[in-house]
Amino acid sequence: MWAYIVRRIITMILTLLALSVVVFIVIQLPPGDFVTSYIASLSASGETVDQETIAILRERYKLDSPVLVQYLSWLMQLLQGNLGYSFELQKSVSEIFSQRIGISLAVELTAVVFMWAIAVPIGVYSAVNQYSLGDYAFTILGFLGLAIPNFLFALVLMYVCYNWFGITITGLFSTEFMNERWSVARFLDFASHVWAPILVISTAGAAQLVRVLRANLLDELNKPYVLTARAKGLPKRRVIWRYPVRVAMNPLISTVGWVLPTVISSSFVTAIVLNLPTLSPILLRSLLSQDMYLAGALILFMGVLTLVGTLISDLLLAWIDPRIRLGMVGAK
Amino acid sequence: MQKKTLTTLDGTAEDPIDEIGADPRVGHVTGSESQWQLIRRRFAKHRLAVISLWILCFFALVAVFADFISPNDPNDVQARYTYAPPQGINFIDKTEDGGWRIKPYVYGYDVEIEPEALRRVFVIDETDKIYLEFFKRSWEYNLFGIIPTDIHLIGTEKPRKPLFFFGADRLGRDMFSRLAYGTRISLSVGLVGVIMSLVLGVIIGGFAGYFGGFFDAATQRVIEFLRSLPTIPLWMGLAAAMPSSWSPLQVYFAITLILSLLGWTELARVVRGRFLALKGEDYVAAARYDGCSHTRVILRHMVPSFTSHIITAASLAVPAMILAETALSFLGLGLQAPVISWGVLLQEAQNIRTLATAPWLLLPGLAIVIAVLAMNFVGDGLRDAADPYSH
Amino acid sequence: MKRFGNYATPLIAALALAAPVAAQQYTEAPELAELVAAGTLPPVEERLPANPLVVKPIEMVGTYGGVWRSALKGSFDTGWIRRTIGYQPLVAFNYDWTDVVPNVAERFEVNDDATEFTFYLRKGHKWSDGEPFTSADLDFALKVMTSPDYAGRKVNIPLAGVTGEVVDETTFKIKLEEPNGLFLQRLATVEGPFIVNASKHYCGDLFPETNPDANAVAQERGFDNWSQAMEQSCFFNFQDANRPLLFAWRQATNYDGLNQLVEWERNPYFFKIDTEGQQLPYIDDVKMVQTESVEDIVLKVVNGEIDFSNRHFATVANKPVIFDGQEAGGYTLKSTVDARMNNAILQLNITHPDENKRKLFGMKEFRQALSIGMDREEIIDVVYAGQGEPHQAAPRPSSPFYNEQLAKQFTEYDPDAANALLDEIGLTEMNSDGIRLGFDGEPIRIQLLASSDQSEFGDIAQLVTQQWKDIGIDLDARNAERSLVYEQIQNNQHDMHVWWGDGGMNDAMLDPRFYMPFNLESAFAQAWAQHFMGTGSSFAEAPPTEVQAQMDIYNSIANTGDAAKQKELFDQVLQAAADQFYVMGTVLPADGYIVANKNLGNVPEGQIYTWLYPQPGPMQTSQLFYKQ
Repeated sequence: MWAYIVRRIITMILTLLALSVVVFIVIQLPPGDFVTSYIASLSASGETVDQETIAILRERYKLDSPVLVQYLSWLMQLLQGNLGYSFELQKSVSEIFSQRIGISLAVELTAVVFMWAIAVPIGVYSAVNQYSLGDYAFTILGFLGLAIPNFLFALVLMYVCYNWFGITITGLFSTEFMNERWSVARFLDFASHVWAPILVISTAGAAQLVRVLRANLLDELNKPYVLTARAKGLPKRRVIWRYPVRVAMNPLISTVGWVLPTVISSSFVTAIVLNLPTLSPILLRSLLSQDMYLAGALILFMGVLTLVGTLISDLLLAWIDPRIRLGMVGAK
Repeated sequence: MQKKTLTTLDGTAEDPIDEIGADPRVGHVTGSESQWQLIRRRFAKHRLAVISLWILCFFALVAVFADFISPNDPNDVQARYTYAPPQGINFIDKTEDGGWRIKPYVYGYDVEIEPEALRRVFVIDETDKIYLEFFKRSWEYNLFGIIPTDIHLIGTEKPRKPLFFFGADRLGRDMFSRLAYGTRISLSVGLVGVIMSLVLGVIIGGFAGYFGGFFDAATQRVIEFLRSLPTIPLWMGLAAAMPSSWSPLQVYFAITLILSLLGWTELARVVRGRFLALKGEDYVAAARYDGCSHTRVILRHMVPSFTSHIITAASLAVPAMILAETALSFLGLGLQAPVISWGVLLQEAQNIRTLATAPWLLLPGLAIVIAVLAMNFVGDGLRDAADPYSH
Repeated sequence: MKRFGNYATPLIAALALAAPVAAQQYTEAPELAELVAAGTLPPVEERLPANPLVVKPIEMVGTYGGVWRSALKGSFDTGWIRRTIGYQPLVAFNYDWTDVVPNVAERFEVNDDATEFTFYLRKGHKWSDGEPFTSADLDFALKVMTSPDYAGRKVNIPLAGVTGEVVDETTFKIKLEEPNGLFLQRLATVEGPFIVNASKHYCGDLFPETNPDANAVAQERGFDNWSQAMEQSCFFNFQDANRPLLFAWRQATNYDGLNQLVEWERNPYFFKIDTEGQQLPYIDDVKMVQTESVEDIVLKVVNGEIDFSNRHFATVANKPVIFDGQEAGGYTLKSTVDARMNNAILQLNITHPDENKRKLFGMKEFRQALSIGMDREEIIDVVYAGQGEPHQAAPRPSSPFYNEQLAKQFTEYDPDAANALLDEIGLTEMNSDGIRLGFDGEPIRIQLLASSDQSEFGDIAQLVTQQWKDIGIDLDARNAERSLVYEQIQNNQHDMHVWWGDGGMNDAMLDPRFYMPFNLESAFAQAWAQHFMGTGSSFAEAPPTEVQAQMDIYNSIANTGDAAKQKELFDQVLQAAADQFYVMGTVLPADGYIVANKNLGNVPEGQIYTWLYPQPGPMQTSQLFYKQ
């Protein structure tokens, strides 16, 4: 088992290294650099920048050196634990991280919890009552979240809330609480805003869970032990919840490591439409403005989350299923 | 190909389909039914999937005959009708002498400009009946891309009359026609993308599963690596890197290719898993001992045995592609006007002005929801029908 | 504009009279009075300069209180701060934009050949932290900006050969090596305030000449080096809320792209009073919410969460929604007079690196044909809901520089004449799609990348694409990320560029970017513009003699301080532009609008809207107040 973990961690580090190369290439791919986008946004507000300033800025951000040199110096920085510097925000990336990571994770983890809260009852109900009207109705409901593009859902929700209830649901705080410290009042204000993004994000991911759970449970319900239990006169509800549901959830739990990265990815667009003070708008902005160290660090962070998630999933799987632990190492 | 499949499958006692036969809820299954008959019968059980299949057929028809059913050229700007609301179709026409007849018509608009609010106000003009006729000649197009014609399913009796079933957009273009064209592009993006991922996934996953060893391990690492890449930033980088000199067609294929990067790893994983499972089967070993080449064993003996799995996996990948296309368009990086896709249409509609004053421009959103739901249900239905133990 | 003309004259009169209000009559906001009573703040007489500037209210004398809410988009939106709070230059444009009047300076003198400018500051004028503001601060700012060691963004005012001289504590002289008749105007533009924005006692720590450890201080404050810290926290951005300012409100939170709300509070040392001796500003706090999307701002507007703004959202497309929301949102719409002269200017790249394209785009007849092949009325109908009129890139009819030929030539839609013209210059061959073949035998395809955040450009481009099909020209228009568009232009790789037309009023002379190859925004002739700017860029190129002659006339404007002579010379520049016909304009913008809380007082109606005159700044935003 330990050897397995060690091997996995070594591959993970190699993967990370490869990831850093790809990330850097992807960021460098679009034509232009940060200075171009900076000038472009200045001229959109009417300002003009002269040639001399452009040269000064390129020089300052070392954008004139070859890509390989830029990559290596970035990598060296990363190895020293320095995430680099954001051109656009004029701050160190770690400072930006520490300001936004808490609220990002809070939103995303709550969304995960909600996702399960929606998916499990629907999955169980539709498996137990397969092909019934309720099955169809709930499945449609569960899949609706998947089928509506996130940005559209968020936008419509935003407008409906304004038009019918006269409230703006963008952001996570009302103006008066934005720059305040945490307090009960601020938390209540947060709660009155956070439901919207959570609704959008969690409904988008629920469908997949419903699908897997329903299918697993269907398998389980056909097994002889269920029939036996039913035949012995145990109440249906008890039979279902006591054994088959648990067994059906096992594979799901083992993939829990995958969930967070998926949610982060799907919350990306939602956070932008709803103007959330999370990391997503910053990532989008940094990608568009080619703020490369910030963008690089954020993407790498997402990659690390995914890799760690995979590792956790695999360990859980190995822990559950001794065949994997002992025999087919690394094969899922 | 189909015939071959049947004989192969009939010869395998271990085939999971037979086990399903024991499922009491499935009903009587006699051994004489083919795999496809079995699937069809089981699929019919899933009523939602059946309805969805019909819906998809309808979408497919719209996609193929988009130009034929569009009464207006989707790119034709009609300055007088910016943000014109949808016209309702009336079927029963009262004639002047007090009688009535069945003749479909729509009402024309009275258009006024409100100079302060900067908008056109449309009032239905009940005195202006615009009669509709079938198979009218109007703008020219090539049916199926080859037959030049100008006949359209529906047209106005007199030429140059406004006909906007689903309203008009901000440039006075017909939403109905645009939606039809968008259906064509969006569905084909999904299909082409899935075909690309399928080819990649089956070849790579197949070889990995069949040969195992180093090739398998390497493939596994690559897949793992690709899956750890955050998709949206990756797409954004790739889409932004597309040379601006590319033609819309090139952009279309490039975007599809970018999207299929997402799909093939999942398919490859499924295929590899099946190969690993089947490799030990007697009939595969038998084929090898019989002197068949690797290629022949894979293509003739193994692939057919899990075609159904591939089809289901693929059918579930199509809606994901369609959604991904809209997400890219939302970020302004997907397909671009003048190409018309659902994503492009929605991207143009994602503003408060539209929500408040022209909600009909969100109809592409409804189309996406229906299509994605339908494809998911068909996919689920297929999977349930093909092999419920394959999760 | 005419409607408010009568207010500007008394305003100038009030400035000229100077200190008619006796010191003991000054009053202040109640919360400041409390602080004074508590002994934490000096009394108002000591905080105000000896001779405060008296603002004659637009409508009525106001009362204290309230918050002014608006929105910022993204982290680069300093423009809105500079327009609203930040417009406190040494000398300012008057409301009508007809003159330059004193602001921070009490008065000023210019010598006859426009080489020496003397500014007299107000005695006892203080920074927002209570430290005295003197001519040493001006000297410091000028020194930094002209220092060869300063490696940061520079102000967009030519400062080569400009030196300062501290005569005494309140007298400062600026000397120019060469005469510059436009220098005073430049100091009054939005770029002007730089000279009074950096306090020597605070920013001086970041300047090696005043503090040898400048870099260490910069690193302490989180920057790489002193230049960068200076640029970010003293001159251009608002990253540092601690920095003392002369604005009506002082900054309470950093605008750093992370804080969701940028707050400003009343500056107790602000140097302006109203006609009754009340210290301005009336409004207590200014709050700017940072958001990423314009749609979010629109929603805030209709929900009554924006008190006074037109930033980002006040487009033709959004007007119906915002118009309808007035009652529920508790706001009204006031008009603004757009000083821009065009909604979209199509610029063919006359100095294209590709020889064939350069030859074609360089032909005036070709551009003329494309211009009359454009149906501007359709553009007006579709994109601008019928508002506006066909117009080339030319000063507005209300501008003193109006030139009818430049404004109206080739605006009449006439596809037949366009076709004839194209035939005449030899473009008679066509391919099977009806697209004319160029001189190289290839179909004429013009690529246009329109910035995707300006959706009107994309719409216009689609219309023009259809219209030009009829004259056999293939316009391949697409939307692209803004930085991609600029990348192309910087490298002179573009066929065509589209941008709106600044320079419709008095700013035409200060920034004639569409009338001659002038700066990097003159995308129709990058190579010549680079030559004009003398940047030493690799693709700079000497222009043909007629264009060079035009540039020479423009350069001679600076040599005279006489306004009439300046106008005469600039009229010649514009006539040359009319003869050259560099770019194709589309539509003269109609009046714009600004959203104002319905209880807000002293809101101007019909103010000019443009950048160099940073609307609403010159209206004196400190006089805004809430009616009881």
